[in-house]
Amino acid sequence: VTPLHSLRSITLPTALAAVLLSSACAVNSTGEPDEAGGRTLSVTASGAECALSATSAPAGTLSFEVDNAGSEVTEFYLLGDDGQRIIGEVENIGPGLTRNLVVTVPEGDYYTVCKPGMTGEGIRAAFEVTPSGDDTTTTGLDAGLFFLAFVRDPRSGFIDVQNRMARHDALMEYLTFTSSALFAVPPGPGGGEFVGQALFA
Amino acid sequence: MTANFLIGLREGLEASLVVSIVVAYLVRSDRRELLRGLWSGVAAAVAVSLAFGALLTYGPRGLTFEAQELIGGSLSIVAVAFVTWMIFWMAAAGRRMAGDLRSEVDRAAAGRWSLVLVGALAVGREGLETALFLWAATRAAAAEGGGTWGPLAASALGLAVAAGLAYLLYRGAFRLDLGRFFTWTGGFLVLVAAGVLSYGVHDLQEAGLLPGLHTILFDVSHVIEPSSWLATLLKGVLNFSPTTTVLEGLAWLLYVVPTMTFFVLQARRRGGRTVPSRTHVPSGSAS
Repeated sequence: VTPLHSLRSITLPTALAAVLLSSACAVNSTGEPDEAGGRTLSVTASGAECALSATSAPAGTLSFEVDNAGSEVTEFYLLGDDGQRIIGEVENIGPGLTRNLVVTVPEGDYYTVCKPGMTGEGIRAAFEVTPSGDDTTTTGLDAGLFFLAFVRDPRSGFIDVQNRMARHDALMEYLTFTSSALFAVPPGPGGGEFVGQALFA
Repeated sequence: MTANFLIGLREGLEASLVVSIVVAYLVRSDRRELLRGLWSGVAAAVAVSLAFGALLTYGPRGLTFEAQELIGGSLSIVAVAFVTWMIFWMAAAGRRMAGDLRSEVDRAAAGRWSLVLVGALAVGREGLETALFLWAATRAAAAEGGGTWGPLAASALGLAVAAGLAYLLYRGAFRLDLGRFFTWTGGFLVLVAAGVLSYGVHDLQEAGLLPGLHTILFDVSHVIEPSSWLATLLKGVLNFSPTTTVLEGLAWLLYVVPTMTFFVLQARRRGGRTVPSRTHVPSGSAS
């Protein structure tokens, strides 16, 4: 396997994984209701009740901390204004457990639903998300990608691959190039040699 | 605490049944050398899921709902592809075994890495959801001012029972003669894989990537309550959902009909030759 081949085969999956992870994360709440500007809400779900700490929140990344105080498994949903489209959900909230739903929501009308026993329409209530000026089109995450490649000859092993990616990789649309650097790594020393001695011979 | 126990049981069965069948197959077809690959895949999936789950639970960042559904849904569909490959590989290898003509080529071509992937996908596809659930139970146990160990103990017991059932299935598979073993386990895996496929479709529907979440094919949730024992077993083994959407049902049928037909035809063709019944005694090291 040439360095070129190994590089080509690892770069794309790695990049995909990195993009997925970096774009998929959202800031966890700190548990303090005010710290996130009213964006952390607690939900107490029981067999008969689905009580939220607030019925509205500013647009942005919301965190619902759903506490199951009932005796059955419950599910929590945030639905769109049609009462059907799922904006976010968290399943498998066993009795006595608290699980979080983190979801980025633009302003609008929504419904919150607790579904004790996982059946029926659940316990529904209207929920409002008010304008806040936050960008809700992305998760607003400060993140990036870092490529590292060890190649025998950058001219054939790295530049070629980068050029190919720049031309053909659909993910390029989402990337903004910042900087790159090239480091020469001398061969390891033999017995009695110093590092890089071969370069001076 | 039955509810938490049943969640553990369901998630445990979803993860362990495929693995137990593959282990039984590898042991019976005398390919123990490939067990290590399978187990390392399983171990990697467990480790990554638990670590990732802990990071998301205790770390500064959580995972958005869409991302979680996408991970679960797409991994499920990839897992179906690998399990399907596995079913036909098993059937083909079973046929070769009939004459005991297993060549070194077969041994090498099977590929250790494919088994690593089968193990990793079988356990990993629902691993993150299970890990998040377990960490929530752990957090409940460690809560300040008197935590409750009930949920964690109950879900751990559920997982343990699932592992026990998977082991029984593994032992049970040894009572079949070799020809039946390959036919029945293969046929069973086709049904399991079909369930996983329709489950993956459901996840992608919930994520909004596929349409038709509210176009329901049938809803028997009033007969088979989703939180009941029966529903747990059906869901854990066959991924049967009491409320099934049209697209899920369609995916299930479009997978089962051709795959099962092809599989049965292959098994029939094989049936002409009688398969010598070899009795392997399962040893503890394989479990």
